[in-house]
Amino acid sequence: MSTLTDMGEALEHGKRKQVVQLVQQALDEGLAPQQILTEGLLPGMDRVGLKFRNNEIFVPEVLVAARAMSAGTEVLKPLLAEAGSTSAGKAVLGTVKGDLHDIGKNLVKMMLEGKGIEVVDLGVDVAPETFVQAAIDNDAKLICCSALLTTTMPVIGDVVKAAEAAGIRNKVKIMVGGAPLTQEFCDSIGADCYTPDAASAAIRAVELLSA
Amino acid sequence: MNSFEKIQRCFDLVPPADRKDIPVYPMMLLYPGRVAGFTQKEITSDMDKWLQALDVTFQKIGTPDLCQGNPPGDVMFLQGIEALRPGYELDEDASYQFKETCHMQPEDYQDIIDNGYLQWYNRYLCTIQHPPITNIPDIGKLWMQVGMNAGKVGAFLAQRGVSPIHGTASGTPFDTLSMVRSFGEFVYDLYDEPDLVKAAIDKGTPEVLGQILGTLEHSPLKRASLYAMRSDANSISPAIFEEFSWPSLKAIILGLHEAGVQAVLHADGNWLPMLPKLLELPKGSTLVELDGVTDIHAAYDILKGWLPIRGDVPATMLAFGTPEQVSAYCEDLIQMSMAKGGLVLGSGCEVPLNCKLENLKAMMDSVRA
Repeated sequence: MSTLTDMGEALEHGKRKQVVQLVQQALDEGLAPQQILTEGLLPGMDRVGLKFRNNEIFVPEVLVAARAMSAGTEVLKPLLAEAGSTSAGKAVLGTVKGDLHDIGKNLVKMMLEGKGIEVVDLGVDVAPETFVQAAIDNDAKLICCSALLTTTMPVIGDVVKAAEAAGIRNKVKIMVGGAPLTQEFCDSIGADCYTPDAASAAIRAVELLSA
Repeated sequence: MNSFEKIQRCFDLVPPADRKDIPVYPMMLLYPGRVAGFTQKEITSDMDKWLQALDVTFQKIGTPDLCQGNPPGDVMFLQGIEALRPGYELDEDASYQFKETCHMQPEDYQDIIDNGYLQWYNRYLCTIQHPPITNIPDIGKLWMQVGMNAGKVGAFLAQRGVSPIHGTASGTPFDTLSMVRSFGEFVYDLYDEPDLVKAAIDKGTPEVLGQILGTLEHSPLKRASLYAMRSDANSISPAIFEEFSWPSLKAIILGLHEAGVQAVLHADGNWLPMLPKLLELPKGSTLVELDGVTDIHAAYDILKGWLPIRGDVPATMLAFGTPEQVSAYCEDLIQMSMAKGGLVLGSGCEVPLNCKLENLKAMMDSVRA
């Protein structure tokens, strides 16, 4: 098996040290950093996302795979920057104002990064204007909002309104998620996309960013 | 039939002769403040105001069969996570929220193994109080106060014919460690140091059981809630559940059962893949509380005739739906359970602060009309 295939498999099983070793090995073999990322790490994370979506694996397996991915990417980062590589797109992400839940949001972040998307994580308790300003400042084409309380769900609607008020609504897609949310709610506030889990969010994010 | 009889028949899996025999339990910790016009700061810091708010709410929606057994401030304490409080860290009328940060280092597992679980847990609890407790034995006064408050709540509810959901409540060691260590770090520990984590859970299991039984010794209500909010399939895999969480959870429930104590398993998240394991528990030993994430019909199919369930009018429906939608949802649950019994008609976890009163009334009326 090739180093890249081994790397993807090690990543799938969350073997962080092995992933780092294989990334280094691939570099030593003369492979380009971008190739290592797109043909080694990202396909591994893709398979993790697919298995997660199909309920074949669960959050812990995703977390350890994402940790391995992150360790491998750390090795590549400076080399990718030197080579001027570009990401699959940029997203700003956060839990809306008044809400401090972050486990789901963090999982979405990992899954988006696993698709090669650059994520600006705004954290929790994020005001609508902050989402919008961050999207402008970072030239992000995707805003991802999370809410875990029925009392903070309406704040997602305020993010949509803030994007309209700032004149960027036609330049960004707004994706929403969180346990109490539904497609019906997404439609009612005029957001672009609702997904019920982190793996679906990553798949839809890629579609939205490439549309 | 009074509420206490209804609840016992539900645990005993006796099919209801009439829908009025189905116990109803809207889990109302914070919502009564909104109904009665008290701020969240007032009802979380003043138990008497919470009790007043319950009375006002009961008058408006009808009296439920079951109610929270602890006031909001004590639930924050019992859940054992650093809480941000309304009127202090949050707006006066905001819901309290938990702030999950890592309060535990890997070496704490060894401390638990060497020196005991509860000594570690009580030391940890001291650090998250407002203000932090520096003299560790003082945490005992808080435990004492929580017990006295539970007694007062129990007496208040008994006068109104309502049963508290429990006489005491506790996190299970697996779920507590997950929350104190913080979710991500704990998951990594399960992979990096599995034997250490398992040994710490093993150490904690009899201690937690002993603490529950000790607390209930002086309580007339022999029922204990177990917070297992990190043992669901949104948090862990069935394999991790079986290896790390279930042995401890099962041991605690069996221990309670042997002592004549009913368990209430607060099972937030998706428990569907885990539910078959619960069939290993004694029949009628445990009320399984579902929050709307688990498919309640599928859950009922697995557990029917063996363990009762509570659920699960979704918070989103209570907040944004209509009374007609709530009635239809409840009717579906009632029809599901009439033949085999074992349903406590309840809200999916907590009634949300922005619940419409008419929606909650529709839920209550579905077993009263």
